[in-house]
Amino acid sequence: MLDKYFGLIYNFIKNNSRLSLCVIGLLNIIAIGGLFGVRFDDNIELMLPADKDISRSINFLRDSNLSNRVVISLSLTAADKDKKDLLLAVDQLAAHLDHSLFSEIVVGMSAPEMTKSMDFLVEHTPQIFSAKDLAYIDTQINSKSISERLGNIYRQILKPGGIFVNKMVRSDPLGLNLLALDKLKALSAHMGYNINVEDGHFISKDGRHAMLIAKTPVQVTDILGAEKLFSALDKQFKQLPDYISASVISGHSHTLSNKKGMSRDILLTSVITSIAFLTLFVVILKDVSSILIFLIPLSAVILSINLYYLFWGKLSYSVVGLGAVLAGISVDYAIHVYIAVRLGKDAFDSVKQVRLPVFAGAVTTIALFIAFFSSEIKGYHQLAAFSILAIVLAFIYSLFVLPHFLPANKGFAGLEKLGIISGFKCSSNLSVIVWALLTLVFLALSFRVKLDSDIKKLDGTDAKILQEEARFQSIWGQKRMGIFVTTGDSYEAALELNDIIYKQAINAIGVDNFSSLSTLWPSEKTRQENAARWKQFWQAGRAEKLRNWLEIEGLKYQLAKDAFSPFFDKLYEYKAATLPDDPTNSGFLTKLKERFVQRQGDKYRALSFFPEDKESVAALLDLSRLYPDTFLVSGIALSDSISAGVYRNIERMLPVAVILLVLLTYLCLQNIRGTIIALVPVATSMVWLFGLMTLFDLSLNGANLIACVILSGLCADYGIFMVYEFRGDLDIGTDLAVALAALTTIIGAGSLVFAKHPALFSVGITMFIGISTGYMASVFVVPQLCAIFLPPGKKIKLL
Amino acid sequence: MKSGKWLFYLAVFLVSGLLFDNTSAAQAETAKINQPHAVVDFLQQLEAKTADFNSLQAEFIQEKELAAFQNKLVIKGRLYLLKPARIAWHVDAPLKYSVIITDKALKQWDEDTDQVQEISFAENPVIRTMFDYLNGWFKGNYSSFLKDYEVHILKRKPAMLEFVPKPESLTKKFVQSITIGFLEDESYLKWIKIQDVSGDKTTIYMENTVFDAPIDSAMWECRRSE
Repeated sequence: MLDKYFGLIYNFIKNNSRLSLCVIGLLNIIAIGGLFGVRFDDNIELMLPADKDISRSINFLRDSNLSNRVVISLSLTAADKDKKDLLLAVDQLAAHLDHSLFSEIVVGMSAPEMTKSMDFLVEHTPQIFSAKDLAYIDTQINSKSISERLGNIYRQILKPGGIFVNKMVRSDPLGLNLLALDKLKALSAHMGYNINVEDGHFISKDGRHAMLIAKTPVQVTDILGAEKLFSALDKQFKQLPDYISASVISGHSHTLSNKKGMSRDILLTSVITSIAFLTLFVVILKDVSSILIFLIPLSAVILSINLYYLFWGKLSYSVVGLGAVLAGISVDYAIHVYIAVRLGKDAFDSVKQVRLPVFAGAVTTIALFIAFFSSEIKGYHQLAAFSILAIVLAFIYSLFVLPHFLPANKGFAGLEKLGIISGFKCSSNLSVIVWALLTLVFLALSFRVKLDSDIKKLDGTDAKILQEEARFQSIWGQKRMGIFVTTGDSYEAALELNDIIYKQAINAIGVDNFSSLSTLWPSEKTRQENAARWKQFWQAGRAEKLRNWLEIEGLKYQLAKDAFSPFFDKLYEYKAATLPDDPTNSGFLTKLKERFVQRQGDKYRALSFFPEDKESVAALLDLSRLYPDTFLVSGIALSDSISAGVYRNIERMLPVAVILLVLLTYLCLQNIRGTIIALVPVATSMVWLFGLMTLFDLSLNGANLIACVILSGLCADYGIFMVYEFRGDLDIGTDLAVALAALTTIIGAGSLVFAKHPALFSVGITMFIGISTGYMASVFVVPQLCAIFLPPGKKIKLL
Repeated sequence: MKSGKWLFYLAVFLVSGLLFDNTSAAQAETAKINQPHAVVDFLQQLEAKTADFNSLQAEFIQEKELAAFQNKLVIKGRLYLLKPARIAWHVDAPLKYSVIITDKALKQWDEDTDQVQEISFAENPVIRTMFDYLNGWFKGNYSSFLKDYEVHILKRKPAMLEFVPKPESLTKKFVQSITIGFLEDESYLKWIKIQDVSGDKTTIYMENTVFDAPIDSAMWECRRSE
């Protein structure tokens, strides 16, 4: 039945070869043109597991205004220039930045802002002082403390700066403003920078560096926007004096660098692969028609990109980046057909002989990609769909189109002379023994292979950017901060939950490690409670007690009886009745509020910041689990969730892949021993790969584990071909075809070894080792195992 | 919490607006243009006269008429100044207190606590700015105040000037006016009077001002044993 259809299609194309060529040519021209219209996706979420925590964190980072900031550090490079020169450059840059790209530029904190903030805090003291603060004040209302405090005040007044404190101390004998200032100071520390403010500018401690923080409407994942952003910055940096150097810290630089790196790698690997393929087929095989072999995977990949885009939309850059590997896979079928036709007397007979092992190879590889659909990672679905399309197209090209354009029965004079054609049959008992021993050694080593769950190591950001960030960190001492998010249907609801979390978080990780708006501006409910408590506190005799102690102890310093009347006069006149919803128009506080509270649709989010270390993250994750309306945004937590998700998906895919592989190999060979032998290259490639990785101190990661699944399918193909050839007594140049197939895949994957992107490099090195070892097993071991374990003379019938 | 230290910081923090703005030479230049030429010229002439020394020592009497105190507070002490950036402020009565200011840090000591406190300007730029400001007065950089003050010439010989904070100036919140009077030869300040908004008054009288005489190295020591 299958033979009938095979013959029909084969002969139809043969009889209409010109028409077929025209149609194929036209399709490919359209596809090449289509590439310019295809839009690629750089959305990182595609390659992430569908996990609630992960998507919430990614959505948060995307939607919040935290990531859409660009920090610029300007440095003095000439020793004879000073702070004034630096600040002039800062102001010049700030004035000339394009406001459509940089919507808000902050160069520092102005004195009016700071004073306004202090005024606001002083006015609202009763609302922001907690029970703990009042308990502290209570400990200060006694003879000893009051005496000490008045002594301090007296000494301050004697000092040169005392000129300005006269009025202030009269309205604040207990230094309550300092408590408020402490709160503000603790809250501003969340920025994680080691900044001084001089002349209203952010300055480093040594006075040689200044910082600008610019808000931008450009999303951190917007590549085109990021390009515009950096182009505008470069233009302005060129205008800076030659004694000023500038560096930029921003998520945009990572996006751009990854995209550029990936594009550069794709171009580089494509060029390397193309040159290697052409050299292999044209120079070594000395056959111009072999270029067609090279064109098949190219055409298959280009058509697949178009077809995928047509039916399912945008393709991920990472998936397209694996195109080189895919080219190495899909070229195999063409190689088998090419070798068979060249060595066979009749093209149709030759193709007929290889059609079933080629079909088996394609089916087992497709089966492995089908296993990818059991994953919840959308990027894996893309990879699978894209790969299956390319494999099917390459299979059709190889069996039905390629043979009509190849000369039959030409042989390979050059290779035959060199004895290469027959030289592949080098399997012997000795080779099996050596293989077994080495496999045992690598098996022992393979248990020690390391699993690297840190996804940041797969980040392809340019080393220069990372060095710049390290330098920035050394200047500004930026700390890595995690974010604890509480959500609510209203501003008040988010802040109320924020208050609850704050109390528990400081118990979990310490008050100095948790910057929350709750310390300075809690929810209205808490502020009302605070104001009522304040009133009760002083009315319970403490006001009189304080007044008495001030009078008694003040005599030592000749203080007037009514020295502190401004404090008592306004004790109950604080703005207790006025409870504005948020500290708007209050300088620096407004900026802090913008940072700590965000509106997302009809929801509000209150953010708290903490140092991102493993202990704090673990403790706060435990806390977050108790409150459904909260979550953590942390690099460590995100990395752990992604790693766990990736491995969970691989664990899910692996059994499906193994079952499908074994089942389809058995269906193809219909022999248990044959199936086991055909899978020897798969097992060998895995064991040797893990062993060699241990030996060379390489680690398994989310990227190369996927490559492991792909190479299992390829190695199974080699095994199937070799078993098929052995038991089928075929003379279709399988040895050479398998060698070439392996070589082309090694070239495709090997080209990725030149990639700078760590994910591509990791895939490349894995494929390189895996295919090499799998190929060696199929050539040196499989034939001998077949000779030992498969009964002679009994031919295997495929399908 | 070290309340003394923090009180000091807070004071500095609250007046920082006044201090920040005085350090920008470019801004002061702009402000000059907005002042009557006669005032600008007069200030520059005064600056030229007072700039003609490398070191200075003087005694001071600081009188504070503060509502918080029953009586006038009289503080006596000595001021030592060595250009470009060294100031010693020694208070002898009613309690001993010293502060030594260099371009990098300040050290202060008082007999009550008998502790020397060192504050690095690199870590506390606000305090640095405050002492830059004091430097401005003591060294005679009067035109640097033009940005934040309306300057009135009350008397030309010997000069007497009144600095009134501009309405938009943050100083306005604390200071009603600062008046300075000069020695007969206008070589240096004779007195500074600061009237704050609450009605409190501080006047510093400079006496026995000596220029370019050798300063005993002990004067640059913060802790005092006598």
